[in-house]
Amino acid sequence: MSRREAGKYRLYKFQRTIAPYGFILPGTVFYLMVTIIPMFTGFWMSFRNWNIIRPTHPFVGLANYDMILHDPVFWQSLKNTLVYTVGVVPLQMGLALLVALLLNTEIRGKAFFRLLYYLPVVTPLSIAAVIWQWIYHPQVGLLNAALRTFGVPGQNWLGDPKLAMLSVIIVAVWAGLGYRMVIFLAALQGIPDTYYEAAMIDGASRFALFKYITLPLLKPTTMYVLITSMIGSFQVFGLVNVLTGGGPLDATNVLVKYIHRRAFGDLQFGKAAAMSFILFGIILIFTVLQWKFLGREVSYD
Amino acid sequence: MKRTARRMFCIVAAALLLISLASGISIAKRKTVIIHWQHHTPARQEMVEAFAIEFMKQNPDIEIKIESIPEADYFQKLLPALAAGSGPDTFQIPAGQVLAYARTGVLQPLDTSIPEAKSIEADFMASAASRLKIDGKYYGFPVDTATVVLFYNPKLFKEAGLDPNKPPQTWDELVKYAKAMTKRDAAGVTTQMGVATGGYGPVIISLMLQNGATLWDAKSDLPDFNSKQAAEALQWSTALVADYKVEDRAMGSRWNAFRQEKLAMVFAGPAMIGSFKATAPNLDFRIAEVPAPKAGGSKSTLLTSWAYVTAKKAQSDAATKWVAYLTSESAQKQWILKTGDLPTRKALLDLADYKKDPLLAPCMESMKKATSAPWSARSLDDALIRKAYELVLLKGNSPESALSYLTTEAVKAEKEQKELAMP
Repeated sequence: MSRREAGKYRLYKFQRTIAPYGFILPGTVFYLMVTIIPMFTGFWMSFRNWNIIRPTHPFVGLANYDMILHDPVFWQSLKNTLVYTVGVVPLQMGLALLVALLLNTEIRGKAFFRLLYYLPVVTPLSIAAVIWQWIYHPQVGLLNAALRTFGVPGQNWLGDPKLAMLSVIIVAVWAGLGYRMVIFLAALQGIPDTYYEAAMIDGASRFALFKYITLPLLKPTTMYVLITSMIGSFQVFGLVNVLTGGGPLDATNVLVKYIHRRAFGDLQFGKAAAMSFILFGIILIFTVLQWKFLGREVSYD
Repeated sequence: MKRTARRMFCIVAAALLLISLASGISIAKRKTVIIHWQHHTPARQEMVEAFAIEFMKQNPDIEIKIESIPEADYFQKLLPALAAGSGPDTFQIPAGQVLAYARTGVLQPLDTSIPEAKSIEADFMASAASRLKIDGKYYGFPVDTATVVLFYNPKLFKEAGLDPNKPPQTWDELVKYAKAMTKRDAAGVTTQMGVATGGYGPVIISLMLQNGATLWDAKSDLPDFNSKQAAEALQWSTALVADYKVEDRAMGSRWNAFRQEKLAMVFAGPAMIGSFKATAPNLDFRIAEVPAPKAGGSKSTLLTSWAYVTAKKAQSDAATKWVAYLTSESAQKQWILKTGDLPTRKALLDLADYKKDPLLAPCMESMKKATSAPWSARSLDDALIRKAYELVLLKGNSPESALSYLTTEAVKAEKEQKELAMP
């Protein structure tokens, strides 16, 4: 090997082995700084009596976790979070898939409908909340006016502890539908037509096409949407915060809202951190279970 | 030759530049910068910015930088900033929290080389200033002070055949008036409400205090809401909705209802004067002290108050000078006119101008009778009280059981705050 070739080879080695790390370094450092390190700090905080402005943070072992497990408001907020998740995720995914299927056909004004369904996604939460508060208004609201024309008496949607969570779920489904629809739509357009053509030649019905081709091939997308929706709904905060503030009577007090109140309202950062890690554990268990039972890839290649 | 000259010229120019930079830095250094944070209302921001300009004119060696933060995000920003030592030099916190902040060491006492800081006891009302004194030293000036008064609409009074110059004096009278001013349509939908409390914490606490409840157990030095007087007051506040049907929660925001003349009377803080004037300029409203539980009874309400404090890192004399300026007599006169925040200086309460002003006179009277809450837990300002109110109203719990629940939660919350405020 001549010297020139050796130099070339060294450059090639450098480009192959060291340079890539240089490129991912800024992103990695940023991610470490804003996510990974704070996560571990939070874990460390959860074992301490941590008040953000006090210089000392005495170690208290599992006392924070113990106190949380004996806190009725924590259990109430956990239950609310589960109800919210069970209410939002299946409904939102089902509707998003349905709308995506409809918009994947050759209908007129497809672009218009796509825009229509996607609009709530780009609407700022606070503005959407104001609009929905008006829709839900017991006296002059659109919803009660519509119900009254059918002879159904008006309800106090956000003010009645029995209805408040349902009302929040409806807004959440509305707000998140468009985003999931777009993901499904992209996946649907990625399924080759040849599969459908082959099946149609064999005389498959429309339902059979959906059941044996569309659904299995959408599986990776469905998994992605399911897991991210689940995580998102466990972490719901903004919507509840602006619509109901967690009320009435803690009926919509969800976990992250409660964590926020404990931290910034009561200065109990140690307990808030412990609650965050309980939430993390719950999300982890759910995600692992989803992978285990649904995570098998399908391929017809 | 030419080149040498050019070189010389460059060197001289560079030297001059460096000298001017250095002198510029040293001039800038001589200015003390005070970063001031407060929670935001448009009127308050405008006013405090005007104060800052005036203050800097009088004190050319101090520069004030103001950051106005919406209340919803205020503590989210303030706490991490204080923890990181990058926070403001002067800022506002609720009076009940001064103890915890002072004990954690993020605050410093007011600098007594500034004359106003020496005479707080003499100049300010005890109810507004007492929570700001820790271990014998004052840590802030009172600001953002409110009581509870009754706003009412004279037009709706007249329509119902009531005299707008004679607002209700007792709880029973209030209910009678409210019934006269409540209207429903053929379908039974409320189109006009007589009165509203909104279940708002400070209002409900005020009713309890008026009724003679102490809400505090001196022996354990912790909250105690279990009393006949507190139960009666809570019962009465929920009866306005459930039994007398003069307050209808289905009408939505009580402020909007009052603006639209669909609500005759509302319990509120004086700061709503500014709000109503700004948002409903044509609305004719009046103010009265709250009615007493019985004829000749107490009109004492809860005084809620914040404090302007100085951070540990601030240059103490400049920071104290600035917060003293913000709460000076001339500034407090502006506060009341522009934002509706009541003055806390004794000298101002009996001012002839206020006595003649039909809106301000009842506010000043209520100020003299107001008492501050003995607790520090912020959840007791509204969230927990509202929950007790809703337990009775929406769940049908007895007032006694709701108050027993409230006491349990309040004791827990207060103990946590006490722990935070350990020396």
